[in-house]
Amino acid sequence: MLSHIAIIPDGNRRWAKRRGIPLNEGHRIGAKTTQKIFEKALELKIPYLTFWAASYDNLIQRSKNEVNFLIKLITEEFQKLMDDARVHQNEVKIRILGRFKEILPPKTLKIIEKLIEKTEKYKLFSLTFLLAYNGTDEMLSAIREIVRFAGKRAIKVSGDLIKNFLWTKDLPPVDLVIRTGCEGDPHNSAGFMMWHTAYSQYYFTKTLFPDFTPKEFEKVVKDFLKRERRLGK
Amino acid sequence: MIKHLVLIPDGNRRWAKRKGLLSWQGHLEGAKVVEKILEKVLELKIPYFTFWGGSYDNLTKRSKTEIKFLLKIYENYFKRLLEEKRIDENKVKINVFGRWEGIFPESLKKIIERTIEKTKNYNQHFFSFLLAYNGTDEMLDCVRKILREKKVKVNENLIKENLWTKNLPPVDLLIRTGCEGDPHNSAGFMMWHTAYSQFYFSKTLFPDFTPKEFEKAIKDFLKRERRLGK
Repeated sequence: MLSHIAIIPDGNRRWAKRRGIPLNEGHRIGAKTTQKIFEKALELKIPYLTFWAASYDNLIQRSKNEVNFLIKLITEEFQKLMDDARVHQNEVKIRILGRFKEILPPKTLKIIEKLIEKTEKYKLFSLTFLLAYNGTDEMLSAIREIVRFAGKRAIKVSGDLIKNFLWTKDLPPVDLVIRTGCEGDPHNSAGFMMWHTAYSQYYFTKTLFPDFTPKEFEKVVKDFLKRERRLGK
Repeated sequence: MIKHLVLIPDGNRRWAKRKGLLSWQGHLEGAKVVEKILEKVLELKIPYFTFWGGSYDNLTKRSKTEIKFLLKIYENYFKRLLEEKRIDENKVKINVFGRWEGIFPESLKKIIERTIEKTKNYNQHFFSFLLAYNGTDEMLDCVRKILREKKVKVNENLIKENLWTKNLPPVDLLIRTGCEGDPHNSAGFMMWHTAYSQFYFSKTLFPDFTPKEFEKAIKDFLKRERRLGK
């Protein structure tokens, strides 16, 4: 059974660089890929799909030009999603999680708010964008909240307690992490969803994200379903 | 530069099964590989080396016979380690992290404690064994410790300081053997320390894993360009 897929879309910039075109073009095509993968995931009836749209550093440390473009692109994509028939026909609940409120302009925040509100009651599918997201920040925030919640009381610390204070608390454990753009260097970044990926399977592909096709995505899903998950037994 | 390398040795049981042997024979063979790898670690001058000897579930949920054999293998292994000259010559500080104290027999605990005690002042190499270790347990325990402190400011340093593995640096490279087309994570392995780790997955089952392949994995790592999102 495949309940939750998380995608780390790496390689937009490398894709553009190799074509000798502006970096932002890589992000633009990457956004198109996201659309196509979302559609395929609906077709394959995958209940939870999560995209890591940007790390906190991506939106802070890169050039002004790139960050501005990313923000514009994100705003446009969310605006499109709001009126996307597929979202409403398939009752897709959209979540946007991370520290984006610290960074994005009011206009984008308003669109995000509306998008969340409009899809809030849907419960057939779940589409999550991690934005200005670091897994380490998520864990830090969870522990801060737990400390605040406990106050002076002694509370019982369990896995459920941690989960319930995560930004991603309403998502199930990640079954499969797909990371594109791994050219012989599979790796982790920023403690990505560290709690929810405790038992995840990984799929690393060298395909740069703009070249990642629904066909490859489907192949990955099929490959996953054939894996025997031993879970240490 | 490689400062901290961790090894998840998967595949002992599959190796045994395919050879028509019993599970513990796979573990026994695996233990021999560990010795060869440690030698290579010293030769390559890797300062921090961490080895996941067994998850908590491995040592509580498997058959009684298999667990008994595993414990026996650990006991023999640490006995040898205690006498090993290279540990002293290379000033290797040995540590064991996990919930082993709660489930190991007294005789084994004593040997482990003696090994830790004997090497506690060494500071050129650091070998850590994770026994009855789950990364999720380590994080849970971290949160419990933080809650016991009064008035704390929660930041990255506080989390690190409350981990069992608090004295280890971030993991540069994680090698997992026995991944036959199914690279994966288990039990939230060192979730904090692997936030930015590079991975090397090998289909080689652990008993067949050679120092040569180990060295190849390290060379491969050293050639990687770490972009770190930049």
